[in-house]
Amino acid sequence: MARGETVWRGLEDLETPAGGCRPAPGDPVKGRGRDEFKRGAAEPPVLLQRRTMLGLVGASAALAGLSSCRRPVEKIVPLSDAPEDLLPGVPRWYATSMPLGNTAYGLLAETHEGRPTKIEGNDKHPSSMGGAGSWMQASILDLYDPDRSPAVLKTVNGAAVRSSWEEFADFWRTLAGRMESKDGEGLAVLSGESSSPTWAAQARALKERFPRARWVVHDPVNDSAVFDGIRLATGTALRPQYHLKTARVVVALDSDLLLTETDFLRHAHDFAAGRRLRRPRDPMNRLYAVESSLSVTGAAADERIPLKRCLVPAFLERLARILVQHGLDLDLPAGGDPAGLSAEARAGLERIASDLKAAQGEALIVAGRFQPAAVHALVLAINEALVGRGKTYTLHDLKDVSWGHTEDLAGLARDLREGSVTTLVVVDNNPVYASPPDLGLKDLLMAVPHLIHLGSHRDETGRLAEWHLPQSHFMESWEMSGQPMAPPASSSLSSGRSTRAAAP
Amino acid sequence: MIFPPWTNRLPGLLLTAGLAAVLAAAGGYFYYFDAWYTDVGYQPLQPIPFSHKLHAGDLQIDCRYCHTSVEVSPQASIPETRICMNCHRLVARKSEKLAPLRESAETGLPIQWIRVHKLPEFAYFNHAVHLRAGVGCRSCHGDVASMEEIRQTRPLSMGWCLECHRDPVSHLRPLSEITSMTWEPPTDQVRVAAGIIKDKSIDPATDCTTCHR
Repeated sequence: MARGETVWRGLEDLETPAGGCRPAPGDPVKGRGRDEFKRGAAEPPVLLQRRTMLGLVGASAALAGLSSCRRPVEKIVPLSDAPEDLLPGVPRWYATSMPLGNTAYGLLAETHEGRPTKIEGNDKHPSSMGGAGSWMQASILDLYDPDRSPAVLKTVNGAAVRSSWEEFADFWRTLAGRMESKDGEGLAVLSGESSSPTWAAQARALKERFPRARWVVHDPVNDSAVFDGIRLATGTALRPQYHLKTARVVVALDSDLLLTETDFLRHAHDFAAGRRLRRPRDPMNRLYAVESSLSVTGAAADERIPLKRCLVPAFLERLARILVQHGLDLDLPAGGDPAGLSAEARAGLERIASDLKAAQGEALIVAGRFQPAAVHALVLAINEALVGRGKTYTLHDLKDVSWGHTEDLAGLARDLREGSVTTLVVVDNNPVYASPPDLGLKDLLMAVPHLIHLGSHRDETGRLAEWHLPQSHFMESWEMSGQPMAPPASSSLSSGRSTRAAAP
Repeated sequence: MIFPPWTNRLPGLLLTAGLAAVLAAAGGYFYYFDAWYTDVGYQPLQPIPFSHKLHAGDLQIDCRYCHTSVEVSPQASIPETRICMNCHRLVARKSEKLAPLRESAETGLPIQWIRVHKLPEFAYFNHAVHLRAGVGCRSCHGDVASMEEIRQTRPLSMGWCLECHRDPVSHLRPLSEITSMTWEPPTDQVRVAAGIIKDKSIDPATDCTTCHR
């Protein structure tokens, strides 16, 4: 009640309002005198509307849910049937080897509950000597890459459709049967470099079953120039191995032998060993690097001579002539002073030559894979004359190594254009992306009747392929000397198994 | 006069009420949000009503028969289906309660147990180290052998861990008594524990990086 209002004290006030003025008959009476209830009491509430009521009800319901505001449920899911000695939380180490190009690197993989988690080098393995480079460390990420192909994929009208190994096997059996009757005429296989004996055996089995099939090996980064060069010099293609521990002077000609060339882990280890001084007077090796762009080898070198890649043959020729002048027994064709070398390069040449001559049996010249075969041949000739095989370098049989030339791709392109290849199986390779564009492989692969691609991802080639087959990671397969330590992710197949599927 | 006389008492009242409210809030927070209140007693319903009282208590199966990795691994493992089936291939073969277990054994799909004792992700705990030092299962997990349904009996909060780290004497026991639910520290526990501490060079660290790695 507002201040100043009178308060009823008795029924008399009901009849006689305060102030004594009685309402005249006919006057409108304000609420209190005549009505029992306050004005508006008989009407529906105005203050609390239906909308507000619903809002309040909703809020109460929501707040009531707060009672379930509690700690989230977390589950522990053990294996249903674990291997006997699998201890959760305790890592298990496996020895494995990672294939990379025409070689493989022995590694140790740390696994937790069956999942590889970390790569280390295998210090008992000569190819890694306890080291593991960036590709090796990254291979773990490759294993868990969510973009890896999950299943056998068929390309239907440009889109990927999930299929199965059984379906592919049916398809292949029919196709292979038809090709077998023609001795494999029309079949071509394009694969990357490999050093796996298993792979080589499977390749032989395939060639036995399809004698007229073509097999092209191509890898965009390859050592074919090295092998060809050695074949030029010796008559057989052999693989060089460098033993930097015994070398006192090493000359790297356009060769990043500490990081990107084959066997880089061992080179890095041995090179470092040659520089570890226990006493101040201990001998230390010396590295000369001749290169065009910055590399780790150049950074580690005692002397780095910047030189365009195309001038390295000229550099080497001049070096050879200076060495011959110093008395090296080398049969060089007659020739003059090659042009184009800078004064800095020439000065460096003199120093290199005198150092090499002084080091004699403990020297080594190495050329990189991007140099032409002629350079490798000359390098080998100099090494043979200067050092002799068996000390700072050895040559080995290329037994099960499958390697090829980019030129072979041109032959394949020609065959595709002529139509003599009707079925192309691409294994662990991406020619649509990694081949020279003037070969026009993309259009040719689009036109080939049957294109089968085995790869880890549905890449440029996989997207054109009629059948895209997921390839196992090296840690999931038994290829080479590696052992699987993780089950193949969603039914991928190692490239070894794929040829076995094709061959029988 | 704008304000009625009773408003004279208002500032004092508000101050007292405000103080009381803040104290109540703080007290409420420290009581209701402490690990002793929020975590102790957590007893979730498990997919299979596994009774520790039956297995560890009445049947006296050692903790380590099922929790196999507790002495060598940072994690104490929950047993896999195969461990259960070692006995339940023959025992209670037709029991309804074990139907999920049999299904798991057949299909190879694991049983999804609800985790009871959980430390936050930023804290590291290593079971093997503690067991090798001589901390018994009961010190942190309570009398599990008496529980029909496993529940959390200790807060597992940092303060609670530090209590023992600062003075482990009452919690160290000989390795043969690690899984015992009835071991009580002897009257000369201080001396015995001092011996254990000396023999094993126990020095529980209390710096941050021990657990916050």
